Amino acid sequence: MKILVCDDDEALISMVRFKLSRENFGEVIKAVDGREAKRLLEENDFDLIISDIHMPFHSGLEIVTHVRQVLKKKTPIIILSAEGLEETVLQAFDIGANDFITKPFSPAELAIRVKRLLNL
Amino acid sequence: MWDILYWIVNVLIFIYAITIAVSYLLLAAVSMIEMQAYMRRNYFIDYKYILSSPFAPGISLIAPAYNEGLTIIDNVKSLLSIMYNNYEVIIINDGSKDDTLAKLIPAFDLVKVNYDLQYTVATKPVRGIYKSRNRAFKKLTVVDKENGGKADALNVGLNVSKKDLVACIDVDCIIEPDALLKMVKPFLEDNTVIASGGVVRIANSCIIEEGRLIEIKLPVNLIARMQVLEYIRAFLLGRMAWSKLNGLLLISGAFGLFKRETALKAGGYNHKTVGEDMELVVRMRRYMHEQRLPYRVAYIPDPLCWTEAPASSQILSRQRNRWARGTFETLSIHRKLFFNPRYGIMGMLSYPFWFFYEWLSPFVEFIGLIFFIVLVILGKVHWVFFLSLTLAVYCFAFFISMSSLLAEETSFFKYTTKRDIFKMIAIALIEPIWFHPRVVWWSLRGNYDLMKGKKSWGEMTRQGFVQYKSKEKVAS
Amino acid sequence: MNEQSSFTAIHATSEVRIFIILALIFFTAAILFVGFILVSRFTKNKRQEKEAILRNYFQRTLNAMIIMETTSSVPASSHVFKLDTLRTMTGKSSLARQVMVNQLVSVKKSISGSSSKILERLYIELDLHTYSLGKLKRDSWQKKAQGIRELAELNYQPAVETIRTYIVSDNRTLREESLLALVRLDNEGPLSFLDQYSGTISPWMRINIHYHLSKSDARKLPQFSRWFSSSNLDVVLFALSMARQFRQSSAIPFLTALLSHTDTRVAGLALETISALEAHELADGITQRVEAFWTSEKLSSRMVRCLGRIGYTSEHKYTILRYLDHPEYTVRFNAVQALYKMDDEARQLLLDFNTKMNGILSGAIEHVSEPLLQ
Repeated sequence: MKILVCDDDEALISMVRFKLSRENFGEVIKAVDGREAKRLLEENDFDLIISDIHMPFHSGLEIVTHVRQVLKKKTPIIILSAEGLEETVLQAFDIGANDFITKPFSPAELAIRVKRLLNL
Repeated sequence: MWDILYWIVNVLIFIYAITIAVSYLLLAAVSMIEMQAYMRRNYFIDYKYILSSPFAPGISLIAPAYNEGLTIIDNVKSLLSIMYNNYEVIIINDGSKDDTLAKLIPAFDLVKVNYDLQYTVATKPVRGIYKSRNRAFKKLTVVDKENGGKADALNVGLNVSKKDLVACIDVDCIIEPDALLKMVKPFLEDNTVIASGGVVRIANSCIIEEGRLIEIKLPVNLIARMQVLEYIRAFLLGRMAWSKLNGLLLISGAFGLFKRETALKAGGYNHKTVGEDMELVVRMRRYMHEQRLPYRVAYIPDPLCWTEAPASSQILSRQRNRWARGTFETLSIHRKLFFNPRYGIMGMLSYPFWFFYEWLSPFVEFIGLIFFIVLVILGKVHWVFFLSLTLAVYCFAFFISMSSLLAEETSFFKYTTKRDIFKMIAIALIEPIWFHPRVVWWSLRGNYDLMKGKKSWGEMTRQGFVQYKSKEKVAS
Repeated sequence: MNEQSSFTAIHATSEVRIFIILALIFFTAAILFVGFILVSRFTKNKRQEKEAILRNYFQRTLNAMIIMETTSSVPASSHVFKLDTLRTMTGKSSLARQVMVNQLVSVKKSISGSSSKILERLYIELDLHTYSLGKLKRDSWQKKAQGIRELAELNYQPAVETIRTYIVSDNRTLREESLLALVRLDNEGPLSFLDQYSGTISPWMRINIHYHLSKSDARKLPQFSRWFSSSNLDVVLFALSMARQFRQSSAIPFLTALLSHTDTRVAGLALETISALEAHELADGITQRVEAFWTSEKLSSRMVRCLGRIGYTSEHKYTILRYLDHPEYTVRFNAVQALYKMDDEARQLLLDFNTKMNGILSGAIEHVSEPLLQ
């Protein structure tokens, strides 16, 4: 299993990474901005993507659009964002995100949701 | 006879020199104090709360574009990824002669829509309004209009916008992602704020990718480097104090945020001047005074907007020439304000300051220099006297530059390597002899052109192109 | 001639002396500034290096402590050992304490649930709450505000009463910081201070308070309608916007009275709240008051929007219809939009009116029917 985590907060990435590897979900790869995320997505096949919304270069929503419309992949995507406005959540699901978690989030809950999306 | 003339001119010049020096020292001191207060107040502000709030006011980013075909796609993409929720991007294609519109249409999947546009402020006709069929670009509106200059294009933006606030920007500027969050905060803290202005910094030699600033560097080009110092001095030392006094007259055309309603009521941008950015602020302030409404013009010292500065003396001379004309036009349109107590600080302090120390200073500097040189040649004044005076002025200029570097160091601290500090000090030492005299000369030329070319004025504004190359105005 | 030149010469020498002294003063001051810049640069760099090292270390330890404790049973000795190490490190310098507090705060911002409780416990176990409380005793308002912020972020409830004393501080930042801390820490009544509050509530405070309320337990929210009759206008506006945002239908019965409030902002916000709560039962109440709105552009716009959302009888529709020839374009536009989106009957009324008026509203109708402009 290969999971991509995109967030500009390194502390958060390191925690999510720690949690997911403890749960034995496989390899966790990080991207600190939208540009790096796009590059990694083009070079690799991921089984799951976890992304923040507001990041340098490309937003998480742009990443979703890119995966669905340009790469035409069905990789499950979880949006993990501090911004929980109804409009944003609706837009995220509308353009193809599979799940939306608002920060502050519980790492245990994240793990469960990841597990469900990976069909483990 | 000669002696009387000598004494009069001498006294006038000395009064001028002393008052200008004292006001600069005062402004610098107030700025430094205010800057520290700003840094302390905003030390632990979490701007992201605005991002996730349903109470964040709506903002329209208005960006006029004229012959920007080369970079327009990247520019628009970067504007669409700014961190703010309730905002839209309105690109005004001001009758470009190149493929600006032709590039936008396929790139963003645009189609013409039936927009019921009201010409609240009269403008050149709009040919069409476009929206994207792709939901990912929902925030984007493109307006195609006949060419009418930058002010006219901005007015179209004011008419199209339906949001409470409008941000007027140069399309090729690099806007920091959190710029709107910071600019909007004064409006949230005080509902009498009608406009807020930001700092403009110089992007030459900085590393920029996909419309984003990756690494800040000091320009390699000397002319651009001189302007870095000039901009730091103007933005950190001057405007901070003016905003504290609520006497700010100029919000840079490259990036300013306005209350749309007030801008419209004041009549929008004036397309008859090349200094439309300053003119709008003055007119909005005048409107508020005349309606007897309380108001404030705020200023954000964070570096939020980066722009490419002219790197050749030819282009720079055109820019400074235009600034000089814009300043004079604004001052002359609003001459009623001059020492008029009805207009408060603006009438009694800001306007006279701009008149005497911004507009008049190139004349005084030029005439003063010629005057003393002639006296030295005629033997009326000893050359030691002349040299010591020059030395005092030079040291004063150096001191002011160092104060601005100190203000930068204690606040935003952008040029981080130690080498950069020494480069800046060298620049501060060279600038008064190598760069400043030319700036003075260009301003004089601007005033001369204005007097000479009054009749052909309308023609000049309509060309539009000149205005689009305007980036930023610096009170030097 | 001789007299003249000697006069100038004497005068000149004293002036020259002044100029040279001035030049020296400015030059020395400038050099002092340069020295200051260099020293400050050096200390800043050193501090940043140290901070980065501490931050990395703390983050790694925190990850382990948070994740391990919530997943598997780890021997207690491992926890004790980590705690001891952290305690030694934070005991060494105030820089380390500050970095640790910052780290706790920043991690706490992104996680919730049992993991976040661990952070709160750590804050106390490492005695960092004493460090934050110590800041309240400092003279500088900035330190005080920072201490309050830390206590609030890490949910240290025993500090509530101490923080309450700063609500009346002269310093705006300190006052606002303590209000926000109360909203977060005061479990009894997070907004009870509003009862006697005579200060202002800026939109910025509204955003902050709303943020914290939205992250807290919805059952703890008070009934905002209890402040609708407050004598402080800012409190009324605040309560109304919160009632709207949290969709408190219990506020509906009190909204009609606010429509005739002397302040138009209150009336306008009441209309928006009625729309948001979809209080159909108030539609008749609005049509009865409709005369009062006509002269104000903003109120008229909001009224037609509101009625478009909640109206259902033909009387409601005819009320909106009358605003189709309002002198202000925005009002006409909003009326067009309201009727167009209401139902078929309303849309027909709109189209008939437009035909009768020789199509003056055709532009607006095309605009509202354009799917890409929605």
